[in-house]
Amino acid sequence: MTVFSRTVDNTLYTRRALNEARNAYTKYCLVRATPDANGMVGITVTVNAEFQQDARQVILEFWNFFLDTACQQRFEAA
Amino acid sequence: MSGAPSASAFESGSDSLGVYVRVTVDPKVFSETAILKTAYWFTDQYYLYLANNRATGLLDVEFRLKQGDDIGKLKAACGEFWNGMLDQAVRQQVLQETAPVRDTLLKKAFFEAKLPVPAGVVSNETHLPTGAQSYQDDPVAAGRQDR
Repeated sequence: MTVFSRTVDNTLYTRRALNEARNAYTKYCLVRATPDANGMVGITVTVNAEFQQDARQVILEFWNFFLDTACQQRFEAA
Repeated sequence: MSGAPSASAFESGSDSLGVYVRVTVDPKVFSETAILKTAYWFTDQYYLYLANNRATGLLDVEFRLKQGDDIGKLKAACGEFWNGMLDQAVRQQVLQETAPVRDTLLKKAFFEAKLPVPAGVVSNETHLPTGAQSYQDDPVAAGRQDR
């Protein structure tokens, strides 16, 4: 199983954007969020077995989607 | 040239997902809005990841190619990103400077649309067409090309 973890700042990557990205990528990967200290959140992406050969693409596309969604939400709120 | 401090720093590396290039941007130089708007446009061509460095107060922007590991292309992407941020910063500035004019024009447009016909304007509406009439019945043939 390919697993990739990062710690994000929830002022940039919001919880709402995470939920949206997680729902969009349910078919491809499992996303776990663990609250850290000082508003940081640990995000672990585990690629589903049938998409192992495209693991890099799945993980990075998930992160791009997460960023895009967070940006869109920020622009809409402004 | 004299050694002016740079608004951004640059580094490269690799991990389990391949090669990446990371630039560090000072949010005091480029606003967060300018950075996010630029990042939003760049996700079309590159994989991006943003991280707030709370210790330094700077923002790290990580780039990866969608295909391949060409570090030259990644460096070029960083250059384009800095240009993009500058472009967005100018746009934000212009938006801010022209906001009162834009607001005034919008207010004027909507205000006029809501106003009743001013008392001084004479409007003869005794010849308005009924539901059964069409432009063909117009006695002055205003809507006909063959008049």
